[in-house]
Amino acid sequence: MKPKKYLKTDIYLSIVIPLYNEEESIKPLVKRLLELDGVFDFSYEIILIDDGSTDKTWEHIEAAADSFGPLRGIKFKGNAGQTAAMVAGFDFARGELIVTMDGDLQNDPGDIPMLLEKIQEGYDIVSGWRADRKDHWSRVLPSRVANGIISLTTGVKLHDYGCSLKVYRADCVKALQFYGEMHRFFPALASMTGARITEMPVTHHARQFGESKYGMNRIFKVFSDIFAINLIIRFSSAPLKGFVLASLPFWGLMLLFFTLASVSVLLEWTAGKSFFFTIAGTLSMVGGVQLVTLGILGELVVWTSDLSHTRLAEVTSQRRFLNKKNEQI
Amino acid sequence: MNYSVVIVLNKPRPEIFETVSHLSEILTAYGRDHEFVLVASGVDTRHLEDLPFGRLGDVEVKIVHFTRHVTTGTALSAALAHCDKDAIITSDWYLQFPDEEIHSLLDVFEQGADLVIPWRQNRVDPKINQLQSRFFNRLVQLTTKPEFNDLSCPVRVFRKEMLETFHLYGDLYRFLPIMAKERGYKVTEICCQHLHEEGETGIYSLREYMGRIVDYLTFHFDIFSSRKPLRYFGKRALYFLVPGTLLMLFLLTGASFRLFPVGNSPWLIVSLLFLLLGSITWSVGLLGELIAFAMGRSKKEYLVEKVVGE
Repeated sequence: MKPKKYLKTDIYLSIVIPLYNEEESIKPLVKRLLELDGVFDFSYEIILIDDGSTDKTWEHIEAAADSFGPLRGIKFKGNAGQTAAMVAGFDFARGELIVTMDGDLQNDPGDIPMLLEKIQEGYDIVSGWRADRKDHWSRVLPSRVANGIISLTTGVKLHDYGCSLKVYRADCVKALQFYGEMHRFFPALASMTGARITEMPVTHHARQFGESKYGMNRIFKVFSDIFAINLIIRFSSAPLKGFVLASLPFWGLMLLFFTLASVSVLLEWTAGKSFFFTIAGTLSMVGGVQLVTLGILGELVVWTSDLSHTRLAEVTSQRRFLNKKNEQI
Repeated sequence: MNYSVVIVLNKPRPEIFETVSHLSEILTAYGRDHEFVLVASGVDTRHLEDLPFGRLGDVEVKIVHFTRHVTTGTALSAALAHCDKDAIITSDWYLQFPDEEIHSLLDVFEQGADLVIPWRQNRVDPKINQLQSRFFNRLVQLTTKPEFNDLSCPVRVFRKEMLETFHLYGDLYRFLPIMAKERGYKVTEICCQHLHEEGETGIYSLREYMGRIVDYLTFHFDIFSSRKPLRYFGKRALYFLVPGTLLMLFLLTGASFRLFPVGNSPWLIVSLLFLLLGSITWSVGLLGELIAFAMGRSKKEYLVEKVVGE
């Protein structure tokens, strides 16, 4: 099903591409995007974001914007990271749908029409899946493990969270708040709004120019982010519950050690043993109390912040209602 | 380019009139329109109102009055609301540099820098002050890129719009050059001949030391980790969790095979303590992450320099 035709003034699609030191990639990238001009029968825009590049990326973007009408360039003062670049793209995007992709030519713009067809089936996010990935195993293996853990823990089952080629409904991502380096978790975060998410295999090319911006030290960071994302998805509306859950092992240990301390007194074990069990029980209790206290602080944070889960949920519930009304008509 | 000169006063300084007049002469000689914003931080402003600022002619002198002492960051944030010019010069209540050095700072600034700071050469303040100042600068250089040599000098020239993008509080103003550079602003440090020093001399008080170290830690956390608290705390939690877990496993193995008595071993307490500290540190990171997420909407993490296209 093709998206309905829009007037040139109504932008239907925004393609957001963050770039960092990709001077060699821009020309071929724009050339590939230009090939889509004949395919799209609706109005669209391309937003290239220069994330504080130190090479001639910006000069190439300016030249491309001069010669290609629907192209806009945004230059950052300094390197703010891929998440910030994508968020800037979301902020500037005027389309109803937003496509994000990498600027290193590893994603194929030719896959965009297929992803757009898919989102018309009633999804809010269609995520690309690099089924035949052209990267070294040292990148693919940790990525697979991370994808498995993210899918398992967040309940949003995707094979490839790391693939930048994704299509979003603009109102879905614009309602969310992103921070730090969370771009690979956008679908998981969007699930908080009740967004309907699916994936499609996409083409993946080997890197042609420049160097990969990732390293092995990313593994610790990604795993740390997995904990964070789970806290946010599961417990940001009730943080105390999360912290109380985390404190349970300490309460268990406290019970065990205090029981042993009592037994050691009753059975007249050595004084050293009873002293040890009492100290260990007290330490465990301190751990439990600390975690619960942090949870209370978390409740205070959520209470005082502008974080509204009701507002997040409204985004999709309104659309569902509208969709239903349209179907009835 | 025109300038707002901001001077923070922590004590009554009747001599401020001479400083203001002199700075006004320097800026007039340089051919720039200017104004003064004096921030009285917990200081009675009556002595300022009695000074003959009217003699400065068209140059406006504004006074911002805080009834109690505030930090430089807060004083500057308050002054910012009253600065009507494009650029800001911050200065001490006395002039530290000769006129030509101020002109050099302005020259470099007007050539396109966003922030210009002086590096005091042949310092005239006591050796003990220089030593302490060098110690703090080195401490900062150890953990950041060693680009700036003199973060303690209050004299700075910067664009007003640049400062508006920072949320300055406490004494983080000291680290403004590093924070600005990190965000992509053009920051330049130039060598300036030091002429005069009227600041406090001798060994800094314990309170000053504590304050500076806390500022340094706040700055360090803010710049590197406030966007990803769990990574920062998680890494530090591992320093406790890994030895704690290894020790616990060793003791459990010993107990299982009856290799050595474990029941009343102090190492069991040490292991538990490490696991406890690790868990608490990790949880603090989780709480930080929740705060970063909950407050994320009000903070933009990018600064747009240019936009091209329709």
